[in-house]
Amino acid sequence: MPPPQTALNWKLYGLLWVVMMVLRQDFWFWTDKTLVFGVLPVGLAWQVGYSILAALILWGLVRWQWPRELEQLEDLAEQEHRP
Amino acid sequence: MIPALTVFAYLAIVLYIGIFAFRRSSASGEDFFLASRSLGTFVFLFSLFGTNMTAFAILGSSGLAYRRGIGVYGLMASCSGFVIPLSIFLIGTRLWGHGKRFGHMTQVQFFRDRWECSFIGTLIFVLTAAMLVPYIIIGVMGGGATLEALSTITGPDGSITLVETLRNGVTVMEPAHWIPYEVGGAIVALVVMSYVFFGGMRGTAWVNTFQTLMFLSFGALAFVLIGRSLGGFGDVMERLAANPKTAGLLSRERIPPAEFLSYFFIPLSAIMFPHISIMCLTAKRVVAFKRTVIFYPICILLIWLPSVYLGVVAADRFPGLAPGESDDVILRMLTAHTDVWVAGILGAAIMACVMASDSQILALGTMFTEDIFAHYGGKKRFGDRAQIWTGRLFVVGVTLFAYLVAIRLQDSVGIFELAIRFAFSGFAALAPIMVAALFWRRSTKWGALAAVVWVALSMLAVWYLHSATAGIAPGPGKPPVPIFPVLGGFLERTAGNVTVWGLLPVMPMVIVSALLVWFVSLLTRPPSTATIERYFPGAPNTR
Repeated sequence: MPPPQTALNWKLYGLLWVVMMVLRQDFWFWTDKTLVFGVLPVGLAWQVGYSILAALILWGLVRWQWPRELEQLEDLAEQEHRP
Repeated sequence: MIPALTVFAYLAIVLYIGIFAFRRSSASGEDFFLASRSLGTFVFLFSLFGTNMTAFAILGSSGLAYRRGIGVYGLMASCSGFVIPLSIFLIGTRLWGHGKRFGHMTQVQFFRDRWECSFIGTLIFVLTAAMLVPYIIIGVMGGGATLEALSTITGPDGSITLVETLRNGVTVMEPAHWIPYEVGGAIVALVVMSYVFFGGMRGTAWVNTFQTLMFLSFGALAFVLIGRSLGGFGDVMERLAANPKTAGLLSRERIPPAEFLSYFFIPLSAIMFPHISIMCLTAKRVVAFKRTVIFYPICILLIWLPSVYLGVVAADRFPGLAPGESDDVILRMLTAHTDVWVAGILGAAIMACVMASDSQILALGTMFTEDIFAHYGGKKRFGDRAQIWTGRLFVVGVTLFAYLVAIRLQDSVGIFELAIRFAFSGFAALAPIMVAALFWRRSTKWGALAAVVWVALSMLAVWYLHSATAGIAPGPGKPPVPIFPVLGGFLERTAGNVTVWGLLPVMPMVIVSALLVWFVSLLTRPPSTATIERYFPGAPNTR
């Protein structure tokens, strides 16, 4: 019998989707041409920070929302395929 | 000629990788099409990323940044760096689990089994194939054009040698090349076909890993060398900011906010591309997904940031290029600011991106053999070996077809580029079907069918509107024009798009597709309890 499927935390993913969509839209820097450290336009610097934040959030999801039943499924599948 | 020779050396290496993979292969369909589901974390990460990295990530993004500024990074890269790994985390891992358990080799097999319906699978196969073929054609076209550009003949003083050429009955002067477009396209098509033919998924994954590593390392090197050659980027940025014609490139003012918002939905397409979803089935263990999910945004950052930044810098170095000319600004920067060998190696790396069609050809071959040949009895009648050979012959057929189209319609590249843009919207709008199949036990084949029909019809409608309104399209930077003035701003034509209340069609397409799956599913009968129990073991019964 395969392990039961973990219920997805839809509220968490819905919230993440909206927050990340708003943070990416950064209308507060839309026409700002300030250069960070004299080389990086501030709008681009924000988006670089956004990419790093995305990596951190994904790390958090992997750490705390990982579908562990799939690891058990891995062993089960190997047993089922074993002659 | 040195850049072209470097590219040939590169092509020889990838060919060898394909042959080496062939030696490691066994005679089963699962081995040829999925590398026996044996890819480890390292190859899985880089091949998945490489598979998704097309010529646009390098050439197109820098060309677009040259015209529209730094906003191009936020427009396409930052949302891809979040949405694609999130979809791999949520969808890719579950697809992998079902594939491991039930032996699925394509997403169509999953849909058929999940909804107990053969027809829905065939329909999705046809739609998917129609959206994928332009990609393969563009790959061959890009290969021919890149090889031609890298083999431009120059005189002793570095000036480009011109020759008389007959174009549409008119004699024009064009740059001379060692390798013409037709020959370049044939070489690229032959190399890609060979390593896919022999190496199957293992060869393709290894080649993609090699390509990604090569681009990440030499791309960083080129960025540093260009920066050193310019004496740093600070002065360039100051000049761009001081010039009223280029100052806008340092902010997002050339990108309308509604268009920017719509792009957040485009990366939903990634997981629905068959080459990506099939790639998700190749991991040996589910933990291979962990690092892929975490490092994906960083890989995107490392590729896109230099490309976009150099595209903006090029506006200072090579001002006044027309849209068609600005697509190769990155090659111009390399040629002008780096050593000829570095330019050659980077040319090879760009070639690697152009050749991303390898996994698409293989995915189409896998789908044809599994979803059509095997599904309709071919495997039972002729056996596993015949199935692999069917896949191989399909690879040859598709590559040959793509080459012939690429040669015959060389001047129609715009049509295929447009088809790809629509394909992104189409694949993104299919994502709700996948989410419903994986996470909603109450979803039905009728809900999925309604969404698939909606996607196909909406793409045709957008295509028609785009073509029919070409005559009223405003120039770049000009305000949009209402398509039906009586409807106000509902449907408008911008320089490059048809918009719905200022949004790109992808956003309403995804939302309506999700609503259709939900609504029609609630009205129709769900699959049998046995099927639901198979896919949702231990979940509370909410039928």
